[in-house]
Order: sequence, then C-alpha cells, then structure tokens
Amino acid sequence: MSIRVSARTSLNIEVFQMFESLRYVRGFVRKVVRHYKDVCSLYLEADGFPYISPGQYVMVWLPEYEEIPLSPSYQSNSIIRLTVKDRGETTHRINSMDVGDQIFIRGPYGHGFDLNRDGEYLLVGGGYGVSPLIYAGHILMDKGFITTYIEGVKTSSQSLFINEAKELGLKTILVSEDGSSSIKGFVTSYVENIIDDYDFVLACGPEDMLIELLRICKSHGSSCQASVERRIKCGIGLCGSCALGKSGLLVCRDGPVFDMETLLETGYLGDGDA
Amino acid sequence: MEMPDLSVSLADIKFRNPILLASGVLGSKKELLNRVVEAGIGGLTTKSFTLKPREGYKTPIIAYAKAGLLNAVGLTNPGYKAIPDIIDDVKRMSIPIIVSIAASKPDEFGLIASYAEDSGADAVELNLSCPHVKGHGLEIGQDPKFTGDIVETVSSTISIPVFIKVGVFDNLMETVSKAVEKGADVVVAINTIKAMAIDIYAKKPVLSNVYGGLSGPAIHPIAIRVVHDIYKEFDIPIIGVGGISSWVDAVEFLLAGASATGIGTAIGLYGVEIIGNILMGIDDYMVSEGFSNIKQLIGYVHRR
Repeated sequence: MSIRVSARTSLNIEVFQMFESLRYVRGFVRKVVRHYKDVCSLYLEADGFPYISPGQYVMVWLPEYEEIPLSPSYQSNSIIRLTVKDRGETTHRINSMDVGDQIFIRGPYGHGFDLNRDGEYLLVGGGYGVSPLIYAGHILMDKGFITTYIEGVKTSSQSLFINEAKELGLKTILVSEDGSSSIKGFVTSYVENIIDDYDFVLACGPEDMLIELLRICKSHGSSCQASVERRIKCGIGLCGSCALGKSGLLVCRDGPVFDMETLLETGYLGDGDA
Repeated sequence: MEMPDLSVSLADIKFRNPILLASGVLGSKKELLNRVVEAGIGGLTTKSFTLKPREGYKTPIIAYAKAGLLNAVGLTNPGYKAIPDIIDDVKRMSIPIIVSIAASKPDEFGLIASYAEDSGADAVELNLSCPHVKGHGLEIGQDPKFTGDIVETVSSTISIPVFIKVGVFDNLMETVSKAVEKGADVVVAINTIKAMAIDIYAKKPVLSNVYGGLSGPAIHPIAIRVVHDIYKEFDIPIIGVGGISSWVDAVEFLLAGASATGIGTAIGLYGVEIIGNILMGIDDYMVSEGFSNIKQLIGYVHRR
C-alpha cells in the first residue's frame, strides 16, 4: 500500500510541472535563413528552454497574432531553429521577421521519435515536413547510427536540408516530382525499392504521403514512426481540437509522432481533419 | 476486507463512484469520452452545447497562472444538434451523462434541454457561469431573477433533473436560493473564475480574448468554501468542482458537503490515468479512517 500512496503523492507534483510548462520563454531571432520564396528558418536564442527531442513540438506565440505549434528543425543548447512555411497570417508574419525580433515559446510538448533502438534508419520527409527529420538526423549521427535522409520536393530548388544532411555525413537522396534532381517521381515510389535495407523508417510530410508510406511499410514488414499534423490549439490535451479521427487519441499529447501499428489500427489517416 | 462502497446517487441518478468529468474538458468528442469512461469515471458532463455551432476563440486559448490555468476556449462546440451523437455512444457504457447547456435566454435553454432529454440525457446542467463568453454565463448567474426564470422554464419543459453550474460572485446564495425555489435539482459549484494574464516581456494580455477562466489548484480552497456554504444553507445535492489534482482534494470536497466531485483541468493536464489514482486514494482513505460507505463522508465537517 505504501508504494501506491507514494505514487499518488508524486501525481500532484506532475500536475504542477504541467502548469510550469505553460510559461513562455522569450526567444530572440539571431539569424534568418530564407530557403525559398515562402519558407524560412529562424534561429532563436531562448535561454533556459528545456531540451526538445526530435519530433516534439513547441507552441509559438507572436503577440497580436496567433499561437501555433511547430516542430523544431534543430536545437543546440539555447539555440532553437524553427522552419516555417508561410500559410496564414501568423506564419506570414514569422516569414518576414528579422534579427533582433522576439518570439514567445512554451513547451516542449508531445512525443517525439524513438531514436534509441539499434539499427539503420531511413528518414523520409515531404515538403517542410522534413523539419523534425533533419533534427533527428543530427541526433542519430551523434549516436553513431547509420542513417539515410530522403527529401521529396516538387522541384529541386525547394529542397530544405539536403546540403545540411550531406555535411552531417548522412546518405542523402533528393526526389523531385519534376525531375530537376537526379531522381524523378514521388518519394514513396523511391522508398518502396530500398525499404528492405533499413530497420526503422521515420516519416513526416503531407498526409497522402504518410498513408502511402504506411501501406508500403506494412507490406514490407518494416517498422515506421510518423509525425501527424492536426489543429493543435492548447497543446496540453485540454481542448480536444486535435483528436485523431475516431481513435480517441490526441495528437498534442499522444503524438504528434505515432508508431505505424497505432496509425493503422485506428485507421484515422485521411479523415479530413488535417 | 470488504471494498468500501463508492456509489452515490444525486437526484435519483446512480453513479458508480463520485468522480465525474466536469464540463469543458474532452467532452465534445465521443471518442474522448469513451477513454474517460474506460479510465473509471463515475459520470460524464459534456462540453457546453449552444444553439449554433461555435468555432471558439483564436489562439492563445490558454495561459500560465500560478498553480492554475487560464483558458478562454470560447465555448467551442458543434451546436446542440450534435447531442445525440455523443449520448448514443456513452449510453452503451451504462454511465450517466449530463448534458451541459450554454444559452442566453430561457427559451433557448428550454429548447436545447428538451432536445437533450429526447436524446437520452440523464440530466442537463445549465451553464450559468462561463466567465469568458458575453451573455452566456456570469451575467446570468449574477442575476437571481433571470436565473430563476431560466430554471423555471427548463424544469417545466423537461422531466429529467436540472443541474445548475454556478460561479463565484457576491450574491451567489441569492441565485442558488432562487434556483432551488424554481426547481433546480443539483448545484454544481464552482465554474472557473474570471481572470487575466499579461506576459511582461510581450507587454500584452496572453489570451486572444483577454479574459479567461482560472482553474486548477489555485481555485480549490474557494470552491471548498462555496460548497461548504451551500451545504449549510440549502437542502440540495452538490457536485464540488474546482482544482482537484489528487484524491486528497476530492475527499475534502466530500467532507465539505459535496455528494460528488467533478474533475476537469487535471484530467486534461495529467491524462485520464488520474481518475484511477483518485479512486484508489479515496478507497485507501476510507479503509484507514474506518468508513465503509462514501455517503458517510458527505458533509462530515458539518456534524456536531
């Protein structure tokens, strides 16, 4: 009985820790990299912000604009890199930010990728979905796991992190829909040919891509973790706006990274909430 | 040793235990309610339904507070026509479901209440205290006569029990008195408390709506006081809500006079696992303090 009592006592502390995670940390923009027309990366200096594991997300608030969830593309000590596509008022404002501007962030929240299993990793990203994957690439290299990084783009000039992945020492593959890179087509068709060489697939990108990738992984008996996008408003499991179809799962707390079995079992993908 | 009996009944509705889901958390999607039921909850209160669907406020909809949480979600809900959708599923699990209603006029409350009754709700809860949506909350509860009109309309329209959810304001006892007189069956106390947070570096209010409702441990002692006072003054069952984060807080509500308690914020923040934890804690407490039936705890502090 004493063990049960102590478990309950600590519960209170955990609730209080959740409250603490709602505090904003102010980040200052120290560097801006414009990848192409409507995608940029901001390097934020946010002193005291906790470690974010790849695939986790932070809530990003611009006063007088909205608060949005973003999964960082890199973190090192107090520097956090946010890669943002302009697709609304708030992200438009972020895309026009300069060095010295401030952004407020809280978190990190949710579950990221499991990068602790021994084996060869295949990172599959589509569009700006590559953000958490390039960050995962950094960590996997630190751990010494053999890793391949694949980016799927419309045209090769839209590649975000292929060069960074190359410099890191990852094997890299750029697949473009228009054939402007050496490999033409959809990233998923390419993956189907090489998937058997890998132990773990990590994916992030458009939902259509994830659905196709899960199908491929299942038919090849591969293990896959995918980051899923839904409308996250509170970030802490309170408002229910990011419920995953009929699964009863919340993307903000139970995800955003889910393993393939969970996603296939619940059959939520493509439910139109994205 | 025999397990203590945790079942309670309020307004002739039998709950398997006194830990209920408070309105506002996870209660607008049936899949999420299923999860709460599986975790052991004694009864469910839905998120408030309004006449028309509501998108809710822009983000940020929550903000940091010391030992608490501020929210201004904005009564996000799919509109009252979605009530049956949620009830049907819960009914299959034999757990009582209370439908929360937010409206601005007596006949609006009546219309939605009657729809909820037809859909199979076990009771309705009239939200008379939402602190952040104009005309849909606090303004109503603070007006005893208007509250009385609403309760009268609803209780003469439906035959299932009518719960009223009240907030914290000066003439609360007058409002409760009027509601009891007009046929309210249960008082649910308290709602979140109107509050505000400013980020000192942004130098702006955090919530897009500026004002929000404060919940969490910060409001628990206030809720205990209100439950204690209502119990002392009225002969009406009470559901104590506000800042429960462990079994200790739930037991405190029962001793103050609540027949059941509602949890919201802690389920959202910690997860549904907290429900089982609280039930185990109450169980241990009853055994160690020599109670065999939970009814023995209700209003214990008032005994002479």
